[in-house]
Amino acid sequence: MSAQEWLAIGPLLAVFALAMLAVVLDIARPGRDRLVTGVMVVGLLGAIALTGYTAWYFGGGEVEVFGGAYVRDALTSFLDLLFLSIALLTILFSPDYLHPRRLPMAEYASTLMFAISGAMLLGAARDLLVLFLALELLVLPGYMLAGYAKRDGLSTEGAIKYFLLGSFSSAIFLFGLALVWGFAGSTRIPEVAAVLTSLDGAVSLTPALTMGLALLTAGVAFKIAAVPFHYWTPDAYQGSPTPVTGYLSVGPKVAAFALILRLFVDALAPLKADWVPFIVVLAALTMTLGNLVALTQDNIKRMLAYSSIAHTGYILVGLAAYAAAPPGSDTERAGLEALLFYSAAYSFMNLGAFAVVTALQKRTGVTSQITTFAGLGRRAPLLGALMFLFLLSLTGIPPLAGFWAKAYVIIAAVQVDSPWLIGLAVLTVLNAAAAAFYYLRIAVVMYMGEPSEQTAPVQVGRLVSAGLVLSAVATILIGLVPGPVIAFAQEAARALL
Amino acid sequence: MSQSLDAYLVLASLLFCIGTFGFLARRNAIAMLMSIELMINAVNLVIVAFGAFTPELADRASVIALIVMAVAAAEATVGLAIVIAIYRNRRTPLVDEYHSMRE
Amino acid sequence: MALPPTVPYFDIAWDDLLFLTFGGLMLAAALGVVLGRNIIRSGLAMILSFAALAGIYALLGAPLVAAAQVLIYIGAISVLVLFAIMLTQSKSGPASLVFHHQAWAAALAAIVLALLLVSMVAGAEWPRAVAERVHTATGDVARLLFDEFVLPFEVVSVLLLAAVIGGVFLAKREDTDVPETEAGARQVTLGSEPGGASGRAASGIASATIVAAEDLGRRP
Repeated sequence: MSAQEWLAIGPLLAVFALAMLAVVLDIARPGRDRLVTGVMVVGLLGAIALTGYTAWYFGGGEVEVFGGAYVRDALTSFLDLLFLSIALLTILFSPDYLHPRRLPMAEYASTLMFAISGAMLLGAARDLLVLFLALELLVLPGYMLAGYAKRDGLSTEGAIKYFLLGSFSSAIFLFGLALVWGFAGSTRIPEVAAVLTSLDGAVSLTPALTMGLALLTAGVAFKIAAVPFHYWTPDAYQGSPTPVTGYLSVGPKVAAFALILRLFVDALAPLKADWVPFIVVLAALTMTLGNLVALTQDNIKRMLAYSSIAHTGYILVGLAAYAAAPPGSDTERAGLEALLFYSAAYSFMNLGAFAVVTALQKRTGVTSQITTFAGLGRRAPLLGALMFLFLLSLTGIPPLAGFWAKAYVIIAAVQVDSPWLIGLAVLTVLNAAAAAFYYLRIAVVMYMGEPSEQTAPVQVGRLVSAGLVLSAVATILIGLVPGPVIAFAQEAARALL
Repeated sequence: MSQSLDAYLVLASLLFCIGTFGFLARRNAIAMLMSIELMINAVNLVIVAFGAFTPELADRASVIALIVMAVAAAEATVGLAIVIAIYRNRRTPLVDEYHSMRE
Repeated sequence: MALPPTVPYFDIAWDDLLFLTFGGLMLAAALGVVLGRNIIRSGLAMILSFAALAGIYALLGAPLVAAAQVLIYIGAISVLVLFAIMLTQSKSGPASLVFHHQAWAAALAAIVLALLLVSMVAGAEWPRAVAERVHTATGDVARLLFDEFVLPFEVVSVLLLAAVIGGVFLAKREDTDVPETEAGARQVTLGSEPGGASGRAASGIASATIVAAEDLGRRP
C-alpha cells in the first residue's frame, strides 16, 4: 500500500485504534474513567484534524483503497467529519450520566468508537459486502449501547427490541443484497451500476431486481426508522441511557443515509425513477406520523424520538427530490446537497437537545418526564436558554441551522417539476408548523412552569458544558454562515454523481 | 432438479419465509433469535447457489458465505448477551411481557 | 461395484434424491424450530436444519462452506443458543404461551412473502447464470480471502472484537469480585487471535460461552 492509501484510510484506522486503546487503558489503569474520557477526547480531536488534512490533501479527487472496496472522496470526508463530531459530542456528554450510575467508561467508549468506525466505513464503502459489514459494525455496538445500563430494566428492554428488529431487518437487507449480487455478478458498486446501466430501460425492473430492491428498501427503512418501519424507535430511545439516546438519534440515522447514498444513489441509480413513489409516500408518512404522535407525548425522550422520526421524513424529501429529478441535472444534485446539509444541521441541534436532558439527569432518579423541565428557565437560566435555542432550531426558526436545513430541502423539492414533489414540499411546511406546537410546549413548561418543591439546583459538569457550547456554536454558525457547509455538501454531492 | 438454480432459490425462499413466520409469531426472545438464524441461513444458501451456477461468482460465493457466517456469530453473541442481561432483570424470556414503556 | 446412474425403481438421479432428502429435512426441521412448543426441542431441530443445509452446500460443490457450516453453526452458534436457553428457562416455563395471539397474521404474512418470492424466482432471469454447475476450488477461496476480500476479512475481525467486548460486559454478573478489567484482558487476547474468519468467529463465541458457563456455575 502506498502512503496515499494509508492516508486515505487514516481516519478510520485512528478510530479503530481509539476503540482498542479504551480497553487497553482500562487494563493498564483499571477504573480510571476520567483518563479514558480525556484520551478519547484528545484522540477524536486528532482524528478530526487528520480527516480535515486528508480532505484538504486530496481536494476534490478520489483515492481507491483495497482494490476499490474503499474510496476516499469528498463525500467520505464530509461524513467522516460529521461522524467524528457526533462521537466527540457523545463522549463529552456521557461521563456525567454514566459516573453517578456506576457504569464503566472504558467499554462504553470502546463500543461507541466501534460503532463510529462502522458509520465511517459505511460512508466510504464501494462494495456490497463491505456495506453489509459496515452496517453490522454500526448497529451491533448500537444494540449494546442501548442496553448499557444493564441493571436498568428499561435499558435492556429497549435493547432487546432494538436488537430483534434490527437483526430481522439486517436479514431482510442481506437477502436483497444477495439478489442484487446474483443478478449483477459482482460486489463492487461501479460494476453493479455498469450492469444495471447496460440493461435497456424497458426491462430494467425484472422480477428478481424488483424483489431485491423491495427487500433492500424495507431493510434500510428499518434502519432510518421510517414509518411504518419505525416500531422499534420509541422504546429503544426511551429505554437507552440518555447520552446513548442522543447518539442513536443521530449517528445510526445519518449513517443509514450514508448507506442510502452509497447503495441507492451510487449503485442502483439507473433504477431511481422506479422508486420515486415509494420514497414520496415514505417521506410523507414518516414526517406526518412522527409529528402527530410526538404531539401527544409526555416523556421528553419519547417525544424527541418521534421528533427524530419526523426529521427522517424531512431528510427523505431531499432524497425524493434527487430521485424525481432527471439524471445529470442540477436539481438532482440539489436534492443530495439538501440531504447532506440537513443531516449535518440535525446532528448538532438534536445532540444539543439531548445533552440538556443528560445534564438534568446527572443526579440519578431524575426522570425524563416533561415536568422535569418545569421552571428550568429560572433554575438554570443558561441551560434553559440553550435548550430554547436547540428547540427553536429544531422547529426551524431563522436564522438557526434548522431553518436553512428545512429551507434547502423544500427548495430542492420545489425545483423538481413534479406534482408529487410540490405536494411533498407543502406537506413539509405544514409539518414544520405542527412540530412547533410540541417543541414550544417544552419551552412553555421551562419558562412558565412551577418547579416542584424538592428540585435541587442543577449542576452542569465541565465536559457537558464544553459539549453544549460546541453544539450551540455549531447550530448558530451553520445558521448564520451556511456557506462553507453548503460548499462542502456540494462537493460531496458532486463526488457521488 | 439438483441441476437447476431455481430449485435452490425456491428452497432458500421457503426457509426464509419459515424464519420470517417464526420471528413474527414467537413470543420467546431466543426463539425469535433462532428464527433470524434460519433467515440468515436462507440467504447463505442463496449466495452459495448463485456461486454454484455462475462461473465468475464461484469462489467468491464461498468467501461471502464464510463472512456472513462470522457476522451471524457476532450477532448471536450480542443477542444472547442482551437476552441474559434482560433475563436478570425480568426473569422471563417472553418478549411481549416487556412492555413497561407503553403508554 | 458401481452405482447405477439413477436410483433403481424411481428413475431419478442420485443428486436429485440427495437434494430432495436434504431439502425436505431442512424445511421440516425449520418448521420444527418455529412451531415446536418446547424451546429446547426447537434448538435441537435448529441443529438438524443446519446439518441438512451443510449437506446441500456439499451437494452444491462448496465443501469449505459445508465444513464451516458444521463448525460455526452447529459447533458454536447452536451451543451458544442452547446455553442461553438453559440460562433463561425457568422451570415453570409456560409451554402453552409459545405464540402471539396474532400468529395467524404472521402466518398469512409469511405465506404471502413465500408466494411473492417463489413467483419472483420462477419469473427471474439471471444474466450471469449458466446451466452447468461449477465447482469451487478451495485454494482459490483462500487466495480471494486475502486479496480481493481483504477489507471485509479485516472488518469481520473488528466486528467480532466489538461483539465480544460488549457481549462480555452485558452478560457479566454485577456482583462478582472479578474486576471489570480482567474480562477486558481476556477479550482482547481472544479477539485478536490469528486465524481465518471461522477461527475468529469461533474465538468470539468461545469467550461468550465462557461467560455463560461461569454464570451457569454460579447460579444458586
